[in-house]
Amino acid sequence: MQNSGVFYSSCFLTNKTEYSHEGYSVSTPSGLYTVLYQFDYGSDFELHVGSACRPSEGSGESVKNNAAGGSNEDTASHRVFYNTGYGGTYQTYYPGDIKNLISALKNENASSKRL
Amino acid sequence: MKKNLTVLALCGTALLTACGQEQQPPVTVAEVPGVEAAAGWTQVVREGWPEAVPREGLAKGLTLPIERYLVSYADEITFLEGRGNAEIKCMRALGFPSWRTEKLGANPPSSGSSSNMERRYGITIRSEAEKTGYHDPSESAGSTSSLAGQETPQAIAALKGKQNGKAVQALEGKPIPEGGCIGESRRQVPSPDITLAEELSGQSFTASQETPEVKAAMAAWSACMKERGYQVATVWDAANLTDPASSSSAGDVEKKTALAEVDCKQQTDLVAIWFKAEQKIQETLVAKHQDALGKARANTVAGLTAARQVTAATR
Repeated sequence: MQNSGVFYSSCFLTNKTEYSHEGYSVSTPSGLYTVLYQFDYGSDFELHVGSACRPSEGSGESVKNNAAGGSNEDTASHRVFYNTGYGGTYQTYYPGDIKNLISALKNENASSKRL
Repeated sequence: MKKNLTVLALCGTALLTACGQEQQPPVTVAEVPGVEAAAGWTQVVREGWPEAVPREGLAKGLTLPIERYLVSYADEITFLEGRGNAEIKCMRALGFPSWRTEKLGANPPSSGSSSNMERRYGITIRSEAEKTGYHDPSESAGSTSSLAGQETPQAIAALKGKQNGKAVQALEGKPIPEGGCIGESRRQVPSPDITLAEELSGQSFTASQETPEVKAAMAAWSACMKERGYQVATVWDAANLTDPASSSSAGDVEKKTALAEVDCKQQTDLVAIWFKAEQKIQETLVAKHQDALGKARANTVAGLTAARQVTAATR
């Protein structure tokens, strides 16, 4: 993902705090139900600068430790952390920010917090 | 004022190079008074906010040099408050007198350090480990509150300046700013300029783990964990042992792991050793990038001042 110009990429969308970018588990009467986060195969999601999320390289891959950049389409800030459970160093995406992850976090993203 | 006079006097008699290396005092947000949120504008809850420096645990009192170029939680909220108020002002002008934005500050994180010091080297607070393992004790879903009811198609057009993918120039004769009211709020309240500081913070974070002293302390920590039955090379592995998506461990297992992590850190002094190594690396990085960091900090201060001014004008 370049730092300027229009791009298309597989995306993972969230508007909440994520303890782990791998996903989460829920206890159900029939056992543990695990949801794994993957970069989206599917639908077009337009980003505010004219770029968009589309099925492309990375589709179907795990989100954790596999992201190269992000776009904040929310009205709140999101912080991306190095480790699960908001551990390690972080990078802030302010509303409207569309940029690559810093070198310490590229392919080393494991959780995020919505401020 | 006295402090500045002392520095000037020193510069008068000392070598120029010594003056050049003098660290600049941190630039603080200008004294635009904070105001109580006016009714109908962005609401802010200011209770239970975390401190900027850890108050307990193995990282108590620790701050890194890069923090003066990052943003405190209070400043993050000041910024979002300004953005929210700029959005409301714009929406009202376009014919939406009851437009509301999300309440801010209601779910503050337990960590207020701008370098994430409480969890920078993994967890450091024993009482947290005991209560909630690796989870944030103040954790809530943090999802958007339900303001969906106000988002009519007309409102969205005003908010984003777009409808069905096409730009909308005006609403009932009133011109819509480019990018809608969201675009307008971004122009009125620029984001904090902290990407460079975050990048450098990331570099020192990575580099510190490669130093011989940190490697040795981590190995000692790992040996301590092994004695307790955990096969983990680094603190990152410990948190991942109970990643909710890859293990079906119950809360108790997570808590026990977290407690072992903290106790072994105490035993090996890992946090203090790691902090010292990173502090040294950061001092060099900050000195090397002083100019760029200073400029970015000035931009951040300007943005936060603008945010406060927008909010003050709602009164």
